[in-house]
Amino acid sequence: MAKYTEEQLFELKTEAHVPQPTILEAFNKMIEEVQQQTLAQYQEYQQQQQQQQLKKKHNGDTYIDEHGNERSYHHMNRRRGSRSGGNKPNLRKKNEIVQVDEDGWATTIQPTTTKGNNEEESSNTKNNAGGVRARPNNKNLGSSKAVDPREIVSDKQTKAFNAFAALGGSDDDEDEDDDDDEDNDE
Amino acid sequence: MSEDLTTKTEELSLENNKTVFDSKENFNSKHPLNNKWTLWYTKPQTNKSEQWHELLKPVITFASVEEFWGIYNSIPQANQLPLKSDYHLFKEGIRPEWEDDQNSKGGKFQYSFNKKEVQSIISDLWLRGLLALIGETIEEEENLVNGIVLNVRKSNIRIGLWVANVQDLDSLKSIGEKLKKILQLNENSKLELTSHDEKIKDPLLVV
Repeated sequence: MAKYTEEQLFELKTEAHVPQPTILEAFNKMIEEVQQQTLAQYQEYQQQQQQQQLKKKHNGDTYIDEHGNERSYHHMNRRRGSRSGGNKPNLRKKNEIVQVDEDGWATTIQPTTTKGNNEEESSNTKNNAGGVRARPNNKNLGSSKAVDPREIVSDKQTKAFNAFAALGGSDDDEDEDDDDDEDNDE
Repeated sequence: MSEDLTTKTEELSLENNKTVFDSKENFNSKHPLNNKWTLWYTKPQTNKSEQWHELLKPVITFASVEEFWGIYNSIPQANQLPLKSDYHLFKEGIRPEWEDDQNSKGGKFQYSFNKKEVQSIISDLWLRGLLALIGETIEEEENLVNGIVLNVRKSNIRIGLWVANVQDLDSLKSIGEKLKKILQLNENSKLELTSHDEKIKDPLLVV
């Protein structure tokens, strides 16, 4: 029984002899054709997949563009994306009234509420009491007792800070100033 | 006369192991194989009118080492075959189908490789399988091996060794172990021998 090891067979590789070249040529040609057909089938399959995906997006209605290409309408009538376009129109009702005077000048005025004059005045006085509106935050205060907003208003600094006085004066002077402030506050 | 004979036979010695393979200059004879082998090819179905028996075609038969290399160098390598193609190398006269009389009582060792992992070495593994087959080093004197098959599929590539019968499990185990080495499978990889008989579903041998 003739046996050849792998090494012995490799040594004979250079002595290769093609027994029937025409048969092998035909075989190679057939494989090449198969590869081309397989490739064509694969491309056809991919096109079908793409067409199916496109069909899902629009109803199949198409038009011919200026370059002669067939295009679908889906890109023209689709809904505007929430993030597309930086300048969206503000369609809200404007909260102002335009008044045109005798000379033709137009001025915008904030609309007044429909409440009576007395109520309006009283509400304004409430809001403007003390000049500063402050909301006390009980959480950050030492006492849990609600703070009267008027007390906060009274804490408002009434004397402006004078940098020259601060630089020029002695420690005693500063103390005096502090005392004055305290007096004023009281 | 005797002196003459002595001088002429001086060079002959059992210790001198040189063969025709050791001198390429003196080597000009063909190296016959123990068996004639036929290469078959299964063409992938490119249109639905093609039947299975039309897709399986014998390509060429050879009987020497030189012819083997001539053919091997002229045809696409394993990693160049189109998808759903098969190469079969079988002893002359045996169709690579389990219905063939010489296959019907046999079985096959088969291993499935992950295509991505083996793409770069599959041609080499297939060649080593072919060499073990035509060199007949894959078995001793049992004459059990009928052929070898390569299946190129989408995600895997299979190599199968077909044997004539599944009775002599000891010899088959030896063949399976050699195939495992040829295919460079590690110890954790399992090579199963399954029967061509559809009634026997469990593997007959695991190497």
